[in-house]
Amino acid sequence: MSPLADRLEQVGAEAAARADHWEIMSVERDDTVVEVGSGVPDLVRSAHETALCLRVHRHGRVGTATTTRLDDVHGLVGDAVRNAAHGPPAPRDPVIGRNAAPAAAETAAVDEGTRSVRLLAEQLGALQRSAGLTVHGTVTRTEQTVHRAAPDGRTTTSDRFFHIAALAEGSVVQLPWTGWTRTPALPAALSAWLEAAAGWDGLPAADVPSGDHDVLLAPSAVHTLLTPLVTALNGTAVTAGRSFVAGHLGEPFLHPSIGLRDHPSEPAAPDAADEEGTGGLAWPGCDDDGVPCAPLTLVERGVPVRAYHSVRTAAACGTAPTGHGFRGNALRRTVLKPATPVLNGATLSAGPADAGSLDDLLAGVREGVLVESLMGGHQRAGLSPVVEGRLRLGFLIRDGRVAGILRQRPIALDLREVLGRRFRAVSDRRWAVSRIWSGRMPFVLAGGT
Amino acid sequence: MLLTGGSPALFRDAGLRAGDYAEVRLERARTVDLVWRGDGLESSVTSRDEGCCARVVGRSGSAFASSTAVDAGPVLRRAARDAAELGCAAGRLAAHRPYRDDRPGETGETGETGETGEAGELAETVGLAEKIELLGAYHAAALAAHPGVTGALVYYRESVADVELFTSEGTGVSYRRRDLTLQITVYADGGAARTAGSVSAGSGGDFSVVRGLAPDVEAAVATAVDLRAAPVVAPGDYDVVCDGPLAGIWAHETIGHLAEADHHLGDAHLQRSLAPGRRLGPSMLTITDHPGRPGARGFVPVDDEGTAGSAVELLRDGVVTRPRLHDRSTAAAFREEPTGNARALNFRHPPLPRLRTIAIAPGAASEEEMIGGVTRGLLARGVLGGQTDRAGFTFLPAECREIRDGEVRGRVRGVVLSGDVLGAFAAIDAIGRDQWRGDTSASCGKQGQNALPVSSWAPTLRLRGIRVTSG
Repeated sequence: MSPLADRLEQVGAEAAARADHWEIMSVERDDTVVEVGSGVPDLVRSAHETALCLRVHRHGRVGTATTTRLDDVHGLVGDAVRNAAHGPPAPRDPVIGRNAAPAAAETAAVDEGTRSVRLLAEQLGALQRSAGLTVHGTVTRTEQTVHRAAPDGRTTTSDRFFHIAALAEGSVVQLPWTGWTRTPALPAALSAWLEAAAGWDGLPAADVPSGDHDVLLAPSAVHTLLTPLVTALNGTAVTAGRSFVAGHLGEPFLHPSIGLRDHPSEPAAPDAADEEGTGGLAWPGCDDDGVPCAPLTLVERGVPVRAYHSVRTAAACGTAPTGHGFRGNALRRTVLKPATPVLNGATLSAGPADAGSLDDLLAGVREGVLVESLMGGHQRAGLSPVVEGRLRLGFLIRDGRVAGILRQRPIALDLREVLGRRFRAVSDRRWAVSRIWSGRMPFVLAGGT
Repeated sequence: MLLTGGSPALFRDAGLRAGDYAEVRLERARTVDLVWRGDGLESSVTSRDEGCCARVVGRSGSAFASSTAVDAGPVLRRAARDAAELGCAAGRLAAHRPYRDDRPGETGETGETGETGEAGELAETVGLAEKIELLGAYHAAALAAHPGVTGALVYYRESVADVELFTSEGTGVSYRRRDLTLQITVYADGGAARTAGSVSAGSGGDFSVVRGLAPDVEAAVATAVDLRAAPVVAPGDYDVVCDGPLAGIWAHETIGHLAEADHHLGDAHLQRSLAPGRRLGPSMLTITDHPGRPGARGFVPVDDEGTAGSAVELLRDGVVTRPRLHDRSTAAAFREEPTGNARALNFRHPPLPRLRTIAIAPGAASEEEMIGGVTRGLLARGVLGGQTDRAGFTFLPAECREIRDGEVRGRVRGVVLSGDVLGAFAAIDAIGRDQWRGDTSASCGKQGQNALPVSSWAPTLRLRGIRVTSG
């Protein structure tokens, strides 16, 4: 038995003696990060973490404690029991049967060591020469194992993946890109994006066109635009009374072709390249409450149809949990955060309006703007469907080509309009996004704003 | 000494190369989190978070390693191995003035020694039952205050961390950090959107700052409820009078982050923009980042490289004086002195140049005078959100009232303030005579190290012609 498995046994035994019910979660994670500055790997960071979280029910109340001290079982149980003396009421049916959930099959990365992360970092640095832009970034290799134990069973899930974050810097343009992959090779989308950025760096400064013009949103801007809705569909926002959409499920909200679904990555063919860098997004077998993770449709034909929940928020709303209760998120679990509802694979689609490549979307724009990213767009965090902030990076589009770099300016986007009556199409390729929630977002074209 | 009893054997046995610098930091932290959401207490969690980290800066490369195991030897050896294998350009660290707790006046601003603010009512001396009763009463009061309230969130956190730092240069320091925050947000149904009012408090571990907040909760309820019927602000340029909490965070997010020296590396434009002697604002504008005062969130008498904290005057009389806040690495790059700004969130992270307590010096105007001089403007109080990217900023005040012909009128909603970071200093034309020095729950985030405790001291400011959009 491994030292950690042995500790789980000890914690379970002592908790059983002092509490009416108990659940344990442990996280073991090893990260290796290579930082690239100006095309050169210049710093290695590594982290090894093992931590335990114990949740007990005692006399009808819940108490929780966490520790990184695996040798102090007594202290961990004592803290949890003490918290239960003043804790929130325990649910009537705490966890029965949840640990029967099937464990996810271990998804191994191709490499078996840390050498691959160095090679990837060198490949990332080499893009500086090929793109002609200064390239900074990080390559992270993560191995993560999560154990859950309760009186009715135990599950273990493991995962390994790479995270690549790049920033291409020209004389004017600073273009970010990020992706998660299980393949130790740079996704083709990254090279293509940097190549495009190199072509745009020398363009003149421009203002947003006056009057009607199209708006093409890059995946990171789509992520910002969707965040109010994703936040409003979060069980935490619903229970806190801050969701603007909770009372309007089933009512038309977006364009009838638009769907938003949380689901795992499509399994890649053996030896297939991860061209978009989305294959590493995590999708465990069960969430940190022990509920199986299953695909969930959030928006169907433009209509928000359901919220996503942890066990706690589902109980508060009188509905079933959806397998979205994570401490941190599926990519990065931490016992230091409470289990809250999180989307890990949200995908925006538009059915027949999936219109081909970015170039195809660009070609259809006579005059418009390409919004790469917004600043401050997350600030209202689900209180309103309007995203207001400042244009961080955007480009002028004229006659189907990127023709200038937009000057920074305040900007407000109402997702009911951009993804509603003005919506026209999305690209068929999607890139990984992850901030507050994770998923795969396409480029989105809206007309005549 | 938790680590080695001060023995240099730890560094001798780590496989360091000649000329390598190495440091080891060990941390033992205890945290209490209490959350009320929905109809009552949602969670009560105690966390014990311990671990250590090691950093090696050497001829062949630099590396940082951390572990939740408190045995520093393997962690240091991993960092040494990674640094040796990287094979890139060498890192350099500037010489620094190590902190010594027997030197009074280390902190410059306060004249205090290394005591980390153990004044007031220490949070760990207050029983959990009493905390839950007090804070739960705020939550219940918010929910019951008005039928238009749709929900309330109360989030309380306290932490105590003991840190020990040892370096291959012989520095050995230990310090205790305390932090305490309380955020109460009240939501009301505003039709297509939700409206919110908030209470924000913080300290360096003094629990008394969260006592007696019932009137503040009532005010937050009134804000959320009244905003439902408030008109949406018309976009345009406004004269804006910002209260101390908003002005303080604005200074943090603008000149503060711009002054973090790692942002200056390789950025010639920023270096020119903040060149010493350049005028950015009016002659009454002086802004300093300093180690703070005991008992406050931004009190950092010694940083996480062991450097004694010192005050850095960023702007004096509207002119850039010392434009960079350093760790030892950035100080070496610019051939300047470390300033005591190398801060790490915890043992999982290497230190970076970070702000501590940013302070706008008080001016001469009264708030009444500042409001009286506005024909069409806004009185903005508190912060709901704020962000900068070193070029532009956007801020969402927690509450805004219209000013017409020198008189404060009703609330308006949806106010978003935005502008150019550097250009906004010139928009200041009046500074209040009273400097606000309270702490809030607002913390600082940078490169994944969220949320670092900071303080912001500021008087009321009046800015002319700020761009306002509505959301």
